[in-house]
Amino acid sequence: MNFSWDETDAANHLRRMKISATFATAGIYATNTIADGAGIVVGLRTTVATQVGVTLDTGTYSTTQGDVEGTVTVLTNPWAVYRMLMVGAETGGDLTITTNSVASTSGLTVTITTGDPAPNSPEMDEGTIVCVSGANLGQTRKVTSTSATAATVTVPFLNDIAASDVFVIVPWCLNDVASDNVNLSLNLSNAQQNVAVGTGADFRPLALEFDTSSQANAISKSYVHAVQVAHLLSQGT
Amino acid sequence: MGRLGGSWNADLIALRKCVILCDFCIHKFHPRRAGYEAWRETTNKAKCDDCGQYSPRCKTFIHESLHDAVGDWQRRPSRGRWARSVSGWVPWWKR
Repeated sequence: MNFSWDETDAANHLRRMKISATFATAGIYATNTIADGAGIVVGLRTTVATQVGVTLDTGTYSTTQGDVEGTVTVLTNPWAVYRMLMVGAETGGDLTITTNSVASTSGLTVTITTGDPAPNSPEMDEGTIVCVSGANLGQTRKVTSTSATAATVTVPFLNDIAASDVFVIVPWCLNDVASDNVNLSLNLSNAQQNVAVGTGADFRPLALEFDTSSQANAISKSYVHAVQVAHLLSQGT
Repeated sequence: MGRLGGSWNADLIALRKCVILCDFCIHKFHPRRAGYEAWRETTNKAKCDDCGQYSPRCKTFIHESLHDAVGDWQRRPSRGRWARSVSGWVPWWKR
């Protein structure tokens, strides 16, 4: 994940921290030192833990005498916002699309085509749906109810939803009490789409960036901007 | 026993670590020659790797191999025809 901006416009605070686990890749978040631990550890993909910040380099942990002490450089701003690529699965890959199969003149309901993921498994209720092909190209709405075959929104899309219009449904929504976490992919840098709303590490989405210039771009170049909620320096943590 | 800042920085560069330098020390480092690029145009609050002083006006450099992972995605390339004219060096009016 890349640093996007600081929500309070504060200067970036960088600290070189001791580690008690090898940080093989840069741009991953670190969590607090545990009791008897030698330093910070690599953050978890799917669960909440006290966050320290995001690394800007790599570090190798060793307990062998004579080896270099393992350290990593960490951006410790509690209000730092990070940009994560949306990926379709834990191993990465493009986002999964949903192709509408039943026209909706109300602009409220997207009905899946056989083979598309069921909107309620994993549960996408309270997530966001974006049109990536069709008359509503580029428009996003919050999903407010789901079934095995359809996702429904409360605020209608501006135009009728035609059969074969293409959408992407993601489990994140801004300022929402339910869709308030981001599940990281295996490389700990990207945001995984195919999980239920509310699942994942404690990152609060602040912006969703969809590149709807083409369907190909929308499923491969879209990003979540999120802030660490359980940061060590945040009040109330 | 003391250690020269330059040798410490050489170790950081060999390990492809971030290099953080304050206003006074930044001119001792040539990022492009070392395969580094400026992390952000803004200054950072950190401890200078050369003089060891904490400064609110440090400049951070990352190794070019880490650009995709942590670099500024809107930044112009640091190598090639369209590279910045002077990589890493920031004029005083932009600091």
